[in-house]
Amino acid sequence: MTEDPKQYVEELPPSETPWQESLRLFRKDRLALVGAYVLVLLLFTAVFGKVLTEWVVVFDPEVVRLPEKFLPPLTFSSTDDVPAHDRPFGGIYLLGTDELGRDVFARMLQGSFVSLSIGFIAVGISLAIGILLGGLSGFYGNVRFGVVTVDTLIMRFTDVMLCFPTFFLILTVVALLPPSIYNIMIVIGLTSWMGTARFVRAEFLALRKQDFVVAATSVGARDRRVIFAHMVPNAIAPVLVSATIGVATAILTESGLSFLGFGVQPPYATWGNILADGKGFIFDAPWLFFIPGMAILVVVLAFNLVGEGLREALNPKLRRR
Amino acid sequence: MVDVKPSDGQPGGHAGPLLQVTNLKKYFPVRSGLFSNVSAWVKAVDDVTFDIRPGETFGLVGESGCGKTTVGRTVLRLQEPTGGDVSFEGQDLFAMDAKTLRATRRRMQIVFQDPYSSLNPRMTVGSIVGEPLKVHHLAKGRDLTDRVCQLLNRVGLRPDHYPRYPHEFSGGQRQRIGIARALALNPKLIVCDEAVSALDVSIQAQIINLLKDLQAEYRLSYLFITHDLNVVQYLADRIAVMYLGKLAEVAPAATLFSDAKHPYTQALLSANPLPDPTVKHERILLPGDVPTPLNPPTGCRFHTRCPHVMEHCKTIDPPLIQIGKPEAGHKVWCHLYSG
Ligand SMILES: Nc1ncnc2c1ncn2[C@@H]1O[C@H](COP(=O)(O)OP(=O)(O)OP(=O)(O)O)[C@@H](O)[C@H]1O
Ligand code: SF4
Ligand SMILES: [Mg+2]
Repeated sequence: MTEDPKQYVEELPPSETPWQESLRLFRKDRLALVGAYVLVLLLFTAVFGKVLTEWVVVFDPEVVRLPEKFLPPLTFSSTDDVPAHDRPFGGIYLLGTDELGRDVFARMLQGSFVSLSIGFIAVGISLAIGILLGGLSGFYGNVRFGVVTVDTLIMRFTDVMLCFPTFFLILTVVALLPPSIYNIMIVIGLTSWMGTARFVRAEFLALRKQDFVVAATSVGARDRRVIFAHMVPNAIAPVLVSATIGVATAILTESGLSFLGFGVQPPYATWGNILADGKGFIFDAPWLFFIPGMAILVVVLAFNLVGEGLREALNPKLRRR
Repeated sequence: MVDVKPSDGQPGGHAGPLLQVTNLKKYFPVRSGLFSNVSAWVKAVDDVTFDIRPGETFGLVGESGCGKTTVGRTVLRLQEPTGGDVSFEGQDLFAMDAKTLRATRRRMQIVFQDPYSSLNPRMTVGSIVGEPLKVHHLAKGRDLTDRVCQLLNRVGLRPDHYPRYPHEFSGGQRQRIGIARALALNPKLIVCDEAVSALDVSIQAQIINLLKDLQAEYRLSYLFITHDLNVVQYLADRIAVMYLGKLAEVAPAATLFSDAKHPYTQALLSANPLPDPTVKHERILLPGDVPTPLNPPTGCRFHTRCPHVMEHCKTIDPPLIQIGKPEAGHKVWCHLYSG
């Protein structure tokens, strides 16, 4: 050896993992950060909503108090009209009451859990299908079945699925199935995986050509290791982004279905059916319309902002080299 | 690497070239239509024959797109060949099953051109360099860490770089990481695909020196792929010049630079700035562009641009011609020297 190896040593900046770096970039994005706070708040609301409306019933969304219908937000319950055990927590209707005198706050709480769980589970299903089909197509796409390749088969099927106007497909299916929250989750999931499949495939095709993936093969790594140790961690970032935005879409779809009366059935409250019930009283009791509408707007906006923020933060092109 | 001694004995007592490439062909299908039917072929590598001896550096030069990378990758069977044979240490590489191939790949490795895309951005340097040892179950736990640190040391990095991520390093340092990874399995052959082309000249020199040191220490053979004649002149024992998927000329480095026979080699050399600018040399300007390998010219592939083109060059493939004694190892594929 002719040279002192120390001569190459340069001082490096403080260590930072790729995830830490993305987090730092994400924190710089004010709007995305606001969105993230809203989502954390929503998560807590949903969990507490589930607990407080169904397990330890503090806010009962199902109590009907006909004497106290159409009360605007922040009205106190009058002690004479309603029996003591039917009174709302603290004696106040935070978000008013509806046409049956039900506590809108309690109903919104219950609905937040329904909306969020539909969003997450539907997206979970669509991700599972999308990643599986996209990954197969991107990695084993050249395998042939007779005249067609796996890639052709999967991608043409994806194209066919994309041809249907999704919302009407869902509407038809939901109209035929017994109305249940699980059917809705599954149907939304089964009809929304195409985008994920397409870009997981594109991502895999691009990654396969990357030198570090070729290098893994050349040092003797098996397919399983190449896929899960090298390709998936590098393909996951855009999946995360689209999943975030996908949750928002699923929440909107569910609200739309409930609004049209095909979604989760009453008395179970969701933001969509609160909105649907409220639409008849838009001039007499605008809060019945306004509150769920705003909630949907804010949550969908928050998911989208977070999604966009993640897209920026995870974008390798913005990363310093 | 300290505990792994370079071994001269070949498995199975194989003598002769380390790598023998015979009539190697690689055509890429161009697909189109609803069912992705093949409508044409890109003849990226077409009938390439050469060998690499133990401890030798074999340079492969040629313009961009002439198929150098494809040769390098097909030789390691990272791409399936269309035709031809490659034997490594006397074993037929293309006839191997997956298991034998994995085992054989321990002795042949690759270093890439782009120091940015050749390392997984989501793995630490330690796990990148340790991966070959891990997937072949050669070391684990403390032993693995120790060996990775030795490797890092050997290529001029520090053991405390172990937990760092690739994006924190400079191009030259990243190329060192790639070399450490290739070295981990104690290979006999390393394919260096433009391994220094993306680096600054001063860093290039450091990496080239490192490669030379490692070669002396472990008796490595290199297939050194580059478009930079100055680099091969300094590094290679023998050089092959490639044009549009075929070899034009193969010769020992000194011979090639002093006595190039093929018109294409002569043109390449004349375009290369000499170390001594006071020496005048005439530049041979080639007319036209490189034709596409999708539809290569018939006969001699160079005939569309050759200053010495003759009528039969356009239809007849030039045969292999030995210049001087066969031991001199100077081969050229050109009609000018036949008869
Ligand atoms: N996977 C592929 N599919 C189709 N064509 C390919 C593929 N890989 C390479 N080619 C084509 O084969 C030819 C040779 O490519 P190759 O990368 O081997 O050239 P190269 O000599 O390494 O060029 P460079 O100096 O730019 O790296 C090019 O025309 C290229 O377009
Ligand atoms: S064979 Fe003919 S065209 Fe080809 S390089 Fe020789 S002289 Fe030129
Ligand atoms: Mg190349």
